[in-house]
Amino acid sequence: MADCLLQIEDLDVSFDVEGETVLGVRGVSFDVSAHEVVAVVGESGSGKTVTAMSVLGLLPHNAKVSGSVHLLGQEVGRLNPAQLRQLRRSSVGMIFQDPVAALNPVFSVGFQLGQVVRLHHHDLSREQVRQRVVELLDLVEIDQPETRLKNYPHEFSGGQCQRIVIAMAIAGWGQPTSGDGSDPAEPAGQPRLLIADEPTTALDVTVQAEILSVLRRIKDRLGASVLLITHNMGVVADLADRVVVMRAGEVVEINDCAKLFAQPEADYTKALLAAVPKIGASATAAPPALETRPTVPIPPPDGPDPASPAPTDRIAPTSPTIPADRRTDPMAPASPPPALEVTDLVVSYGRGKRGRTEAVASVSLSVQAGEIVGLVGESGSGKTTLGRAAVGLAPISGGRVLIEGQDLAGLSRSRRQELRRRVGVVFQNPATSLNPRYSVGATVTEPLRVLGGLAPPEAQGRAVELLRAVGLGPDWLDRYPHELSGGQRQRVAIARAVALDPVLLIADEPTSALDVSVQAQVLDVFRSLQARLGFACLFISHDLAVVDSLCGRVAVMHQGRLVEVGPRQAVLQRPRHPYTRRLVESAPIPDPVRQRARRVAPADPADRTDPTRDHSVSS
Amino acid sequence: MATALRWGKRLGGLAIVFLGVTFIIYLAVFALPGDPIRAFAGDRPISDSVVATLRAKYHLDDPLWRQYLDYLLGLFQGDLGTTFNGRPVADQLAARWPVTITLALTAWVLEIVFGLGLGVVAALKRGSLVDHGLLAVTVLASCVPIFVLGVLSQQVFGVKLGWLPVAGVRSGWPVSYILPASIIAVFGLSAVSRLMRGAMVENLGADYVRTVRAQGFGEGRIVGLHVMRNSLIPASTYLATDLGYLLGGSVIIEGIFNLPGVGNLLFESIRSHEGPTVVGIATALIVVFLLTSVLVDAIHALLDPRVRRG
Repeated sequence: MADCLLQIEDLDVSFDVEGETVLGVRGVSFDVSAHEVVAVVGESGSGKTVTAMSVLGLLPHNAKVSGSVHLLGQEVGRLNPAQLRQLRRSSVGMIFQDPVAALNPVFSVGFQLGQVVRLHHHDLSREQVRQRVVELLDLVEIDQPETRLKNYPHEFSGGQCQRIVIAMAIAGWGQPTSGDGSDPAEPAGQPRLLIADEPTTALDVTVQAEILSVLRRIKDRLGASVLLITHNMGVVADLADRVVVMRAGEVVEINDCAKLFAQPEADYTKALLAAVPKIGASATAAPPALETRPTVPIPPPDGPDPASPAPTDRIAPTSPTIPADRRTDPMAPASPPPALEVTDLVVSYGRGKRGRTEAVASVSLSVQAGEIVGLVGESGSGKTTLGRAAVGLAPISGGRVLIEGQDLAGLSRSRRQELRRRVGVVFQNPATSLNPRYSVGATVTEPLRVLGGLAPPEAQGRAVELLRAVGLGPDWLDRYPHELSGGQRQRVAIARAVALDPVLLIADEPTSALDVSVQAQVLDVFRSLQARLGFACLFISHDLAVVDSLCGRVAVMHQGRLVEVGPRQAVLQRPRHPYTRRLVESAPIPDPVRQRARRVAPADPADRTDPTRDHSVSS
Repeated sequence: MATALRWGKRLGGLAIVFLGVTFIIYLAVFALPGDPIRAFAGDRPISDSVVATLRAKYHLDDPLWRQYLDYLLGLFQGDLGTTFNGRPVADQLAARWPVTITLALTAWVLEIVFGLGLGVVAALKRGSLVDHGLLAVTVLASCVPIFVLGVLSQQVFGVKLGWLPVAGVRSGWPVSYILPASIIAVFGLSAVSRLMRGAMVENLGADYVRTVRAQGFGEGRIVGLHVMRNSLIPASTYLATDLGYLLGGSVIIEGIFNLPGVGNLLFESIRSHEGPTVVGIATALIVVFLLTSVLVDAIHALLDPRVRRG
């Protein structure tokens, strides 16, 4: 009891939204002890962030709170504003999901850190404050802290911003006189709590690994407890001691981390864990049809399934040969040209010597008919640009893009348009890639009517088939995007993309914005649709596990270049290129035992100077 | 170095804009119907030989591009031209501009103080009666035509109440300028307060505000420093541009309140076909306007480090 830093008992939070009461969380109880990492996991809307916000009294004004939050011996709900500020200044710190937005863009990093230091130690001189700020930046491993003090948040990368936010959160903890920050700055007597709300969600996987290690070091050195809010089971396995699983505002299970993964108690936890894609999991399970390069798609399921949009020539009257082509034996001498063939592609933006950047630098890649190729890489690697160039949405500065053997560039306008309609695209964010004023029906029938030349009733019928194929019934036709959940929206987007029976589908992070359980469903839909329609697909993702579960071949991009291409298992199990290796190693495994074992393995000391590490976006 | 290059480019751009705009104005003024010499003579009969002499003196028979080139050459020697009366345009401007500048700065300060102030109040009390009231009043005020507001305020404060002079500048600053400056300010003020309110509301909900709040800073510092600095960016851009407009003089307000400013001078010159004066004033105004646009950039860069990059 004495070493209980945080006790939440029977917490109820609801929000008053324009006269209506919206439930936040109900009956939440758990506690955090000294030196303990407690993870609160759940999908969006589960109330985990609401719980975190209530700890520091940061809920918006329309929130109604009952129950008790006991933090460092004080009852948060009973404090007046001045006492609440005092509590926030004490040994509690909070870090947030979007680190770049969490810093004020118009003040230098040194100023923002300095003000927090001064808040805790009013009597420090300018120089002492500066020294303390340098110490803090050093503690979170920002290189050359003295010179970077003057920089503004936009001059740091996302990972560096998160380090700075962590530094701000712990700025009041140590004693400024303790000299070098490597000491355990204070005897372990003082309780300290770091609340981390999705601290790595907005970051690339290699950067995530670094931030997690910073968090772990801070916890060890400063003797802090951590309340970790996350949806990522890998992160939980990596860091947590105990786990609180939340769903729809309620706690469904509290368990030891190891036990939770080994023997989950609640059905929901089991489902959640099952939905998490794991690298290597599909090695034994039924692999996608294209494991060993045959390009024959699985034929449509038996009989004329009403949901099956199999009679493809109906909607592609201009190219009746295509479906036939795709169903011929690929081993036949006249094998069809690859669905997508990219040769020495260069895409560059900007003008002049200094302004010119190559987003894609001399990349060659092909996607055979009916094949799914995964394109992985971190933000800024050029994977999205490559996908865009394949549909003619990015300026091609060099090289060629062939779709079914035809060069987009060499064609007349009308031929190019015709070719383009054989390429479908699904984007990452279904909330913005669907027209909010178009009903689901209008969205799906638009390409059928305008590009496919179908009469409205036919288009309508076909739209119903397509919606059924993605798991939505005909009664969804009249709904609008804002009435749909994220997963439903993405299903609509997929239905629209395959409406014209494309030869090639470019899927750009189609499940990244979705919760894991929804992601699993959407991936299932995607898989069965691909098996039925047999389109080739360039599946762009940062998630190695998703790619592993779906793709036959994997291509890895890094800084505009293709560093490795090969069969899925070879690339992900035995990566040859050092970057691929780092990528694979950075992704935390949703299994605490294996993850711990991996972490114990000595890290390469040269890693800290690796130029490919999280680096500043500008100088 | 990069900064110098950037500002050099900026000024080069301004020079091109300057040439283009002055030429258009030159063209427009001299394309006006009516003969300036006849207009100058008024009702008196004037012999053809006098007309010819005058036309030669003012180079009115030269082709237009030649006239414009002469004018530009004079301009670079600091000569804004001479009126048909033989008085330098520069002198006329020098006599009138102080009035306009006084009026403009008074109105501008009122816009800053009340515009920003009301915007902040509305944002902090967003959704309240005060917020809605301020919205209604500012929108209403900026919908009334300026001359209605001018004449009405003259009636009320000048004639009925007798608190302030009805017209003229004889009572000097501030008394003579309060009424006209307030009326000009009403228009800019509503825009400034709406901009400020919008930016404040947006920034109050920003992630970085949550960060500083979580660290235990007081609301005074959160709003006064963090939110304010970010919110000033749109409003200050508008304010600097507005200063350019104000320094150009308000023809209507200067007319209603009989203030001998630049607006008045411009109006008189257009009416009497004083081509050189019109072009001279316009040129001076363009320079002022271009300078304020540089000011806008400078303020923006000062407030927002993200736009400082070379």
